[in-house]
Amino acid sequence: MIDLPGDIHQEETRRASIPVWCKYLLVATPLIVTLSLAMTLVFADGSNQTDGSSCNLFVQVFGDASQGNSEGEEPIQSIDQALDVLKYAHKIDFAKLAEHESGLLERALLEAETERVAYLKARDDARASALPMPSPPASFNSALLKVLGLYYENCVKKPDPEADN
Amino acid sequence: MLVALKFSGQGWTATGDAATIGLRTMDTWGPNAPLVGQPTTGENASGVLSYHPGPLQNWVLSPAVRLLGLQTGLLVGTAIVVGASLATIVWLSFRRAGIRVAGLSVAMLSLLVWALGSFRLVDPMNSEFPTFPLLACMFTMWCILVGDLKVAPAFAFFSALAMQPHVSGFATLTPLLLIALVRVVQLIVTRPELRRETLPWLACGVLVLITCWIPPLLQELSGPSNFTALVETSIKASGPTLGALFLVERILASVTPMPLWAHRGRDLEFMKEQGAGQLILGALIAGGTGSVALARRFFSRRPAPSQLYLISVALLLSAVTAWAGAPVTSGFRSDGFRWLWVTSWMIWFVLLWSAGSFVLERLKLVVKEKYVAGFVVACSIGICVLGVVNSNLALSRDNTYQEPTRYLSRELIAALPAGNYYFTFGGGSDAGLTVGPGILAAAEDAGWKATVPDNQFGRAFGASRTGRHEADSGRISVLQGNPELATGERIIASTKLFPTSAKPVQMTVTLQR
Repeated sequence: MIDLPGDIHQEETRRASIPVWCKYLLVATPLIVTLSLAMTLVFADGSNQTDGSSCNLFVQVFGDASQGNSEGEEPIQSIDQALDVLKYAHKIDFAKLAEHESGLLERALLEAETERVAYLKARDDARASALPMPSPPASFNSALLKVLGLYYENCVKKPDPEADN
Repeated sequence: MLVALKFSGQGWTATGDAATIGLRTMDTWGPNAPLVGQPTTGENASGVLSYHPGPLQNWVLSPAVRLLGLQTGLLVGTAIVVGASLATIVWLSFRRAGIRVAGLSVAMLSLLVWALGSFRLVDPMNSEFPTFPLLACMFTMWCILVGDLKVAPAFAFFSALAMQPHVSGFATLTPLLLIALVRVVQLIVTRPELRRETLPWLACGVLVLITCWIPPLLQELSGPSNFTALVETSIKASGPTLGALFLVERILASVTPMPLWAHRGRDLEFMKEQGAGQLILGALIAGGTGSVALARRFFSRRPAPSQLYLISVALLLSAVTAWAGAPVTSGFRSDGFRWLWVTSWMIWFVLLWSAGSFVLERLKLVVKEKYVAGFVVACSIGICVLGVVNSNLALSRDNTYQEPTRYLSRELIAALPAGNYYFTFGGGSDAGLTVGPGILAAAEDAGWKATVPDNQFGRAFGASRTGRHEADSGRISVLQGNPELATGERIIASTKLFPTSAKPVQMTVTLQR
């Protein structure tokens, strides 16, 4: 080993000044902390452990996709309808997504979010000035959530060959 | 470099963000030199216009772009930065801990490069570009914290390179930069001999730091303040956020026995749900590594990697703090989460170093340096061979857009004389965000001048390119879908995106004088 440019002697002195019980405590600390975090996740009553998909987090925060949401968006009536919105309105091709084209998904999300923000702003403006309420966007968030879940199952999570048995 | 030249030889064409980064790189050393980075998408959630913190990426890439043109220059310039980062990591491993640990770092870096894929070595995308500089920054910070102040210039450079291209890097690294600066001050105040010995290096470090941050500082002085805009963006952004638990799960999953840095998975596989067993295993590895490293530090007289572990933890804490409030949509992209690859790599580096040295000591084994040196050389050659063999345009960013963009650019440049053209993009995001910018960049690379509409997307091209000049040579439109031609508008070239899919998309370039 080459010499450390740092002052080894000073480090040794500092080590000697730490009580032994404190050293053991410090050594155990990382393990205690990470195991606590893992147990928190395992027993967490929430976001990412409910039915086996990380996308649940996204579903939860946007609201239940199949029921629409509190912002007045109409629910998508079927998975096929949601897929159509994504495939034709946003040109998302799942085969391509699986081939390292996650940028498309990102763009779709960006557009959906832009549209949602624009709608909310228009709605607030309409409320403030007693204008007619704008039409909600074509349920992009709901559609996206469903398709994200499908995408996760089909493209991210490897299919379980035993699932059909 | 070989990877860059191979991609270039395959006809790689800058599209989307890479194209706008290339255009802004061409602006350096001129009156329209960039003072800030690319526009952020924070405007969508907050309504506040903001840019990524700095343009250092453009300035660093500019010599290669000037010398080799926009397309090859972007690839080669990025390869040089990545190569310098990798070399720095190996050099500092050797400097701090000798040839055996340097050998370990080379082997692990080889796996990391393989896991990320060859294109990551040359990808100029601003969210992907800082990955290897971030790892190099962590190693330089390690040196700084233990009193090796001679690496101060390298720390200043790599920290700026990791912080400026993307706001997430800035938010994540700012606390660590402050810690390092406080440590430097403490060292030079309490250890006069170290101050005398390293003063020239410290002065050089300060000079590099100031130089790297001059453009953003000029922006702050000339206004409007981008820093204020970034703060406002983070405050005003509304909507659901990722949350800390989501991130903790990703962190624990990243260090399991099939760790993220050594596993070549699909793009979004890092989001895969982890069962209780995997989470506990990840916790045992992440925490156990720290315990082993600290035990080596407290109960052994051998140099220990505990400082590097603590830096990893600091980076993780900072990243969780910075990302917990990020919009959920930011979770669905791997390039924004590259810090996860970096921390996963660092924790395993500490683990293998600690465990390896412990085992060697117990068994009283000595690995001869010449064998380690041979191993390092073999791994280095392996990186080169694997990198070049795996360099396939089909695995690059925006791969399906490459050929159509190249074709349309070539046809357009061949059909019209060089001039000052006004570009518009319509019909969808493929035209506006990917193919269109690629065509515009190729046209400017061929000597044209171009402007675009002054809107949210136009700002990525730089202020000097927004707005229409009265005396331009015509309006060029990149249109997605079936084009509806206006009076006097004619088609220059047309092609199909995704020609083999059930719903191919028409992409057309038109001219209107």
